[in-house]
Amino acid sequence: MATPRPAPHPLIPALLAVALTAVVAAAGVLHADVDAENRLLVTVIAAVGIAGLLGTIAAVAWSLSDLVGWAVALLAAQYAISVIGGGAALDVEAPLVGVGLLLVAELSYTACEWRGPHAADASVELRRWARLMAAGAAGAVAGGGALALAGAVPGSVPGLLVGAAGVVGMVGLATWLGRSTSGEAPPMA
Amino acid sequence: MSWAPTSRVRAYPWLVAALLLAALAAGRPELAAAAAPIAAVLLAGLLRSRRPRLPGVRVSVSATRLVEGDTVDLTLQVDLPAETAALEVGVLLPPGVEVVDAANPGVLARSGGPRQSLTLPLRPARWGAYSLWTVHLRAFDDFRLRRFEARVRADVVVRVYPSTERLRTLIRPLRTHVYPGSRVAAQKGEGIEFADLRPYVSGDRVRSVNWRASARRGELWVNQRHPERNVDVVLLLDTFAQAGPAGEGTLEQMVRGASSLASAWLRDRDRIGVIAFGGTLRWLEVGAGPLHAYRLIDAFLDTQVVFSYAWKGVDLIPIRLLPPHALIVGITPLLDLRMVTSLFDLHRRGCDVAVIELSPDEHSARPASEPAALAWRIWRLEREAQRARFLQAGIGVASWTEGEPLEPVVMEVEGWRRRARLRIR
Repeated sequence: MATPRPAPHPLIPALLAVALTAVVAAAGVLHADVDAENRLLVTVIAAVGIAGLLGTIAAVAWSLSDLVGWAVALLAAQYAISVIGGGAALDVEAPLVGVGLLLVAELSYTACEWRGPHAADASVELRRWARLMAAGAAGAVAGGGALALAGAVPGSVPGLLVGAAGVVGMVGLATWLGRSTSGEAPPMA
Repeated sequence: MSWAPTSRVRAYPWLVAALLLAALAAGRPELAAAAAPIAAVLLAGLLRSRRPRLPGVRVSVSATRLVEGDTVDLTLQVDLPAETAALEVGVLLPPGVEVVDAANPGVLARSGGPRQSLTLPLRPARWGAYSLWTVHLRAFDDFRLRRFEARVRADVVVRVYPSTERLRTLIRPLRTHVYPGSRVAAQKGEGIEFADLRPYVSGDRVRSVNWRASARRGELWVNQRHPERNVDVVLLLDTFAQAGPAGEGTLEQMVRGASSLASAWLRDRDRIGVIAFGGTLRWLEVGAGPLHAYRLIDAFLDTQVVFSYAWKGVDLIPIRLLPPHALIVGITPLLDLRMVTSLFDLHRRGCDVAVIELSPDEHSARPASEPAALAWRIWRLEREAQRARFLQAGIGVASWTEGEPLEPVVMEVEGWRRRARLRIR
């Protein structure tokens, strides 16, 4: 028979999320600053990165989990601008950026969830993060492979078809998941 | 268990789709590579996500009856479903109940076994009957993409009795009942307390002979004694109105006072009845003994103020609730004219009436302006005049302020009644 222990402090994932967002945003600016001579481009990249950082801070500070997606989208947009405006060379660090975005999102969501009534078991949380990292790493490896393939065979038709199918599939998945629910219970008070 | 997608599911697919679209549009495979880790987590999570079956939950409490200030252990025995690694278990507590030194919700990990228990030490803040405990169960899938939730209602009732003050002094009724008890009766008979002397008559017991008086007077004289009898007491609770907020007002004070008085009288083997006189009339006929004590407490727990515009007088009270020679103790904030009138009516009908006034001063706002201060003074003067009218009529009354002991109040009423009895003699 166990008496429940206090839940872990939500400040830990919140601080980690903000710190990692700052690192991702700063890395984007530094990367653009090295590659591009266009100051306007660097300014835009910095502005978008700062907007992403502010979004993350607001999300974890006021426990706005719906804002996390927009903050991560801003960081992704920052990376997209830097890649598109940066030059023709392939950026081999793209999978790492993906892992960074994933970690920012997961830490921010965890911080938001821990702000409300919750309980967490340390061993279960560790297993979850291990699984998350494993899946993220597998995705990064797959992304790296795709990148290498695209570098070897630029503009291949199968690659374009896979990408288009991916877009359609993700939009369909998002639409289906957004609608599917089975009588949501009231939140834990 | 019902399920719903978490915020991740609303964000990740759109994020991946946007990055893939940008990659296709700009012809930059890096953007697709950046989307790959998030897409991998999303797909792996959805493939592994399984809806768990509803866990079996049994709720039990360490005690169903406790006194204010006591803690009770609420134990939840949960059969964990195999589909989930951990289950968050939270109890939606009724208002006024707090968890002591434990977290609510708690978590049960599947690694601890398929059947586990969770104990929550709870402390109800005030007296009352607490029921309708709801257990909220929540689980997530491996990647927290879906949330599974269920609510289980537990049929547990915990009755919290008001803490009572141990009274040594009680209001003595004018007349006693015929059954043995602890009060010295006015009549003469078999007892302990000396009453009088009278000449010996045939049949008197030898042990009753007062040898000193007999030696002085040259003939046999015997002692007469007061017998010990019990009394009937009816507590008349004013449920017309209360001062102060719910949970901290004069109603709570009234219940605490009534409980203290009732337990003291019951200890002395007296018979106690209760009438909750207000918008609705509720009663418990006079009785004694441990079982009656539980009935009384339950009656007190059910006491509540019921608002009504209708004029109600003592005619509504069934006559059998007011036994002959019973002492009627009105416990009232004296805020409603119907209660005041009823107390006077009972006195005029020959009932022995005493009043414990619950002071509403603590619950009334202090005047902030000159006219308000004047109104406040007038109101207090009217209350003083009301008390004076009670005393003039021969009804003992004393004011009891929240937070102060009841004993001096009872002593004040009893002292006034003793002085009044002496004046009458």
